[in-house]
Amino acid sequence: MVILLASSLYARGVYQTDKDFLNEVFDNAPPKSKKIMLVGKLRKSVEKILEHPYGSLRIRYWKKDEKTAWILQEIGKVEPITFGVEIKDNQIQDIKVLEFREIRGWEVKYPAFRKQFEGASLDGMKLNREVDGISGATLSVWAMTSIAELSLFLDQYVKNK
Amino acid sequence: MKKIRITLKAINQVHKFTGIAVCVFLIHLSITGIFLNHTEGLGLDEKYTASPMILALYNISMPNKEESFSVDNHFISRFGNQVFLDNQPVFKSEVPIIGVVIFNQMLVIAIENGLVLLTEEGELIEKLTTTTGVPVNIQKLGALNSLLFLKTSNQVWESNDEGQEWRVSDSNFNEWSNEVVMPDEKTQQVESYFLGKGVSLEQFFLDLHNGNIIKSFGKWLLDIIAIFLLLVSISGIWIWLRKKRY
Repeated sequence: MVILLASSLYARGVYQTDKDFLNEVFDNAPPKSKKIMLVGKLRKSVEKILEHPYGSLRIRYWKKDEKTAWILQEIGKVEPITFGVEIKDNQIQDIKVLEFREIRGWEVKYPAFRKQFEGASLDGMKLNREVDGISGATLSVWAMTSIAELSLFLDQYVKNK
Repeated sequence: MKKIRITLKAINQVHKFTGIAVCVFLIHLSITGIFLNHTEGLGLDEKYTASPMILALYNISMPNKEESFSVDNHFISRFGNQVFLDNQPVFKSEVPIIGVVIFNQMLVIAIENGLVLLTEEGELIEKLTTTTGVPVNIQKLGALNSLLFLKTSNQVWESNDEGQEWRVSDSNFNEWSNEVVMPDEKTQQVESYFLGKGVSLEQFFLDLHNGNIIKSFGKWLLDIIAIFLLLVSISGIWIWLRKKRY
């Protein structure tokens, strides 16, 4: 019981601040943020990827040269998980859990799991590869996969805008 | 080895004690049983209780009212960590609301560490944080014409682009958003979000009847009563047989 309680407390928290994530992606010189409004067709496409509406009407991103960074949220089981995604050349360079608020499913933060997303791109609206799940963290895995797809889709959208 | 003798007096004591305990339980079971038997007739399935004592037994409680602000006939309030626009839950915040203003047909809500932008219908537009350039340690929020104002511990800031960029203000702006007392009628509307109608009397009597009202302890209590029923039956037969012999 004590071990379970301790592990759930250990799971919750800010693993990396938004600022630190952006500094890491852009070598301590992050550009100014840009924003996109989820309206019309874009909103419908986002709903299709997530299978529900996104939590807010406006999404912020950071773009420098060919690299974009996204800080997005998706519900795990009950609470939203904050992810940071770095994309370059239409491929995921890195995806991280920035803040975890659930009591289960935190294993998705481990580099060994996140490595599966490195180099992933979109095939239609889905990732071009299968992501192996984690027993006991299925909903967090789904959330991370959805955010990977969403960020790749939005990356394409802002480049083609 | 000393032989244990079970005396008639001891058996009588056991019979008396367990008999009283079982009797109290049977009275409780009979009364609640009668109510349950006439649930529809008495309309118990349509009547609800919102008694705090009974709701507490079901772990239903109302969180503390924290802050409330009023703009344009809307009340923005925080109960526990849930923020409401009138009686609609809009987002969660562990930290206090500092101020609320209407700006460009948006609701701008300042919390200690950022701004939350909502449509007037309560849909979340965006949360702005220090990462997006919002000054830290917000103490006051205000709006005038096309400018948003923030007061931090040592400076006043202004923004003319919906809080995206902030610069130190040299104006003497002083019309800050302040807390208001929320009318009871509005508070009751929020209460219904947490408490619903309350607990139906049918459910309450059913849980009293089967012991669920005291959670897992109810199960153990019923076990004890079952043991008492066994004891009262066995001791009764014992006493009857002993009396028959003499």
